[in-house]
Amino acid sequence: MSTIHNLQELPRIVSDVCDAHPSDAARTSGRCPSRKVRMTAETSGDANATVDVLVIGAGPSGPVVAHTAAAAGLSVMVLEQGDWVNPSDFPANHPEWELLIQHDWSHDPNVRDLPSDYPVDVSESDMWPVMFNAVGGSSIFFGAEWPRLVPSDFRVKTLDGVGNDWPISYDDLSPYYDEVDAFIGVSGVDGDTAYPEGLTYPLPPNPLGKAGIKAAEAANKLGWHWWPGTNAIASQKFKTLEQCGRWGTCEWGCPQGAKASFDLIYMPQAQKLGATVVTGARVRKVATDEDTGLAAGAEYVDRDGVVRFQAAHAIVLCANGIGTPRLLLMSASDQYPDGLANSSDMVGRNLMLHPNCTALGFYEDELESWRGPAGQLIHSLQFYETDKSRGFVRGSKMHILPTPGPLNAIEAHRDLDFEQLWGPAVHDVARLAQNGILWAANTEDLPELHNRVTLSSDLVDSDGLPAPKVNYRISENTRKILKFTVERMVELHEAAGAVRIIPQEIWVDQPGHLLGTARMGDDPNTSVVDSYGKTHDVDNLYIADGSIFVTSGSANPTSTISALALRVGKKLVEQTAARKAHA
Amino acid sequence: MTSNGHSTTAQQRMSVPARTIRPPRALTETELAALLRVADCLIPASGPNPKASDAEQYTSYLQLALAARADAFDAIVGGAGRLAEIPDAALWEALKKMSADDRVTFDPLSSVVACAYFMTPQVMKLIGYPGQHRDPAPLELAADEIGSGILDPVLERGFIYVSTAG
Repeated sequence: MSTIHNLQELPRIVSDVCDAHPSDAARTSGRCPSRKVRMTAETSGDANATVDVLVIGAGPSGPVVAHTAAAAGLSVMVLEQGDWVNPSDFPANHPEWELLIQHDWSHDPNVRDLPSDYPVDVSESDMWPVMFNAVGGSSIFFGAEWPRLVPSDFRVKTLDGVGNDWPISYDDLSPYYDEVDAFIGVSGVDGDTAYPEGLTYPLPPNPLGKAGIKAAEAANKLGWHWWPGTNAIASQKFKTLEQCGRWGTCEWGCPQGAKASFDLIYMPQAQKLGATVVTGARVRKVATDEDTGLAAGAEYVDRDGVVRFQAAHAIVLCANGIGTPRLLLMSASDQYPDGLANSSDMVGRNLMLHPNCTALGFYEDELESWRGPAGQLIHSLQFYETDKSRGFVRGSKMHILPTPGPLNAIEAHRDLDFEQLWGPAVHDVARLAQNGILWAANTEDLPELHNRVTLSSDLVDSDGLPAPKVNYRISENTRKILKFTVERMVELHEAAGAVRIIPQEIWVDQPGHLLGTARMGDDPNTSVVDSYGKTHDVDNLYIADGSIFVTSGSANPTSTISALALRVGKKLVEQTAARKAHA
Repeated sequence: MTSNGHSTTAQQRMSVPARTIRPPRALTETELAALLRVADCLIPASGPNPKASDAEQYTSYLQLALAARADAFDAIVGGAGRLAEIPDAALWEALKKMSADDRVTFDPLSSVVACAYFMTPQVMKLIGYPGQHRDPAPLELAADEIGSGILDPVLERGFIYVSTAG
């Protein structure tokens, strides 16, 4: 956990900037929280040019929006609090990688505590949301599993009487899924029977590998659905991506540069079209024009501690399901006292974290489980849809991953008896690590008002800005799904002949699926944005990240986040062009 | 010193932790002996597998492992040191107790001594672990796997999604 600082009074720069003309460049010296600053009085240097589109957050949705807007000829700037990361930086390049991922490269920002990170108050949460702050965002660490939501995910209220329906359908989003898939080179096998007919992928699949074949044979034995893994991991060299090198460490950064993290695909293409990326830029407020109520620009603290202001005709928040509501709440003003775009009181609410469960199995067969991708080798949507006889609604998406590294196997055995792990047993545990299969699952997490992001009253980041506080409790329905799904994954291992199975009903420090905290809808009283990501309250402020999900589904969300971002970006282009034409 | 336990470098990157290959400070002979004793208790010789300290180059890899968990260096070295006075016959039980009562110390301590062991080329060979490395798939591999007919039962069952049309 990061150092807990006393929350200092936020500087009045917030309202001072609003008092000034929003396009004034603002610059102060020194760390902001330690002093009260009248930005206009201390402006120095040249004014930054007003950009057409200001994107806050560089991954994954940010690069998609930036590329879309830049391709339409708009001027685009992306503000990112982190920096660029190179494939050669990642821990798997080094023999001690399994120790590096425990702390220095931990998924948990509270553990990792890098300069780009902000702390997250999880003192009242059943789970600890994870993320990565860099160009590419959490896609630096994602497994690049690339399933879409299924049609029923958009209609859970109608079908199951729970949650809410989305204001769009699978068919509405399908062309955007297709366009993103084609752009980033998704690898997969066409015709997955868990989806409507016609689902195709631009690149051939990655291999199943020995682990994938064994798991698939077990699913066949049980008569269950499975499909070769669909991954945003290039099975062949594609644009700015290399061919997958099967390093097996996708979730700790791809040393090959083959995984479609959004610093490697979309962002480079956006830059080529003229989009600029400002790194080390921590946005602390979206400022609005007092006369028009429109978003005027963003205040950010640069890596030297200088407060700057960037004016824009349109602003798109792409800061993830924790960072986006945090920023909206930090942007409260006299005009928007409950936070920006929050007239519905829905900002920060309905947080969905997609609880993960696993069953780790070890086998006597040689499975070469150090080999990637990881990435999903296969997935199963056998228990995705609602079957009320199970005692819950909705379901889960199961998938398998390899189990690289002997120390990781040790860590997985921590909760067993001491004698089962140490002493002579340690040699068997290490040997079996090469023969492991990890069945893992995302579970449907329905929206609940009390699961929410607010601003911490006492925890601040290194710039003195309030940390997000997460209040999150796993629902009874989700707990039933977790239990049921673990039992099914154990069944799969048993059918495959595992010699040791370690089930885990909840991973408290996973995943990075941060959804629902600024949800979309047609009714401004119950949603934050419309179906195109435009906030109901502020006509030129958009949200394009996982915040706008209405329900979570069980599919890994980045495919849907990216498709939504493309849809938001295209509408933004239309509306910004129209706004400029009438200016 | 940064919060990661590493020495402050000239320019710390925003999103990339600095990698160091040496622990925050050199171990004393007493500290090294205490760590090796713990390592050998947790990882004894068994069949073809050497005890930890007998693995070739073990102490070199132990230095690298300690550097990788510099954040927990004091806990690791201090934890092993506190067990130095425990008689050999009682060390196993003492470590077992530590694993139950003091995971903040035991987990990084045991991770470091174990990872150092698994990093040695001798042990990697013994356990069949080649390390993570570039190993692109042959172009025809995925097609051969799918072409074996393994997917046929799924295809024969047909579509399973719930339609929302109409």
